[in-house]
Amino acid sequence: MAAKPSLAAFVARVIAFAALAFAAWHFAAKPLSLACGWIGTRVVEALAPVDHAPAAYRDGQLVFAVQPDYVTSGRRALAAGTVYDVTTSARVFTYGLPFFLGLIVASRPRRLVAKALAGTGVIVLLAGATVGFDVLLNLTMLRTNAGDPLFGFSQGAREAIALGYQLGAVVFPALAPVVLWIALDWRFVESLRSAGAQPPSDEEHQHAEQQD
Amino acid sequence: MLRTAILFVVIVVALFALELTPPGQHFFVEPWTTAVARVSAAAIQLADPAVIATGAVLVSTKTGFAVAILAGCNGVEAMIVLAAGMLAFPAPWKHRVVGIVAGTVAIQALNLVRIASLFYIGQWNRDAFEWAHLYLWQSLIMLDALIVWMLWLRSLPSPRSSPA
Repeated sequence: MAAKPSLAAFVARVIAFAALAFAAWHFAAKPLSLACGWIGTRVVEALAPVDHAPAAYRDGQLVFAVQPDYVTSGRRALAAGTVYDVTTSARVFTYGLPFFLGLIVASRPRRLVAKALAGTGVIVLLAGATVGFDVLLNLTMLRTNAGDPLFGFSQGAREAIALGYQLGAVVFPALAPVVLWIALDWRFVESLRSAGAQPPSDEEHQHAEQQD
Repeated sequence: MLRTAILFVVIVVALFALELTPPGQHFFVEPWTTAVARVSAAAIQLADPAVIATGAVLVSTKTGFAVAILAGCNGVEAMIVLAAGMLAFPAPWKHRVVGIVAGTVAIQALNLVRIASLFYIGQWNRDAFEWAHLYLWQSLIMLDALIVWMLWLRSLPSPRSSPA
């Protein structure tokens, strides 16, 4: 019975730190979105027939200015320099970040800062890739005035883009924070079981980490 | 850890793949989502008789406000992650089954609270609804699954006495 308050205290710490992290995440929307936008641009430029797809931050949204490449422009008789604006949001793919930070700060592993930064990097990378797939998904739906697809994506490419988007939008935001935390502080999880019910006290946890 | 991690990834990928296939959607996700909407409507009707469910859509006959319960709002993703976590971790099968059933109940109970709260938050303020819907409740549902998993871990017999 003595173990229950410890787990409750851990959960209370998670909620408290996650609330702080949510506030920080809210105010850091612009730099976070721009980082995701930069990664999204790399994904779009690598996978779609475009010359450029730079991202800009406007009113809380990411706006990608997608310029079709020379071949696509020629095939579709587009005016030189034609640009298509595609709007998306990075925030809906990064909400797991404050939750992850709440978990990792609450469990206080050794090398906390390095682990928090590593997890943040992975979540931003996944969110940025998802932003890219969101833009690609929009590009698959663009039509010319005649109603033909603007970009010549194959059926397989369209399905791969849809799958990438589904994974990034539905699976990763929920899964990544928990999986990253468990991977980065496995000793905490092991101690839950080996202690027969009792999460380690902070001192025990730190001590176990130092013997690692 | 490596064995558990690999097993977890394999199981979670398999379950999510099953969920995303057309048969998975047709035979499990859509009926489940409709059932969630009906149960939510029944629960809300206890306090507010002006609420009805049409398929996976909750409607207030008083204000005309409606919310559609879609993939991502039915708790299935959290159930998959929790089930994968319990199946991947070395444990007796009896504990796994009990854990998955109890976890499903816990996740769906909180999901019911989520749907009811969003239904009324949406009628009050659109921005608050978006924030609660897209960011806050998603994290709380995952935290719920994580708490169930940690409680389940603590309930396991010690590794020495476990046959698994």
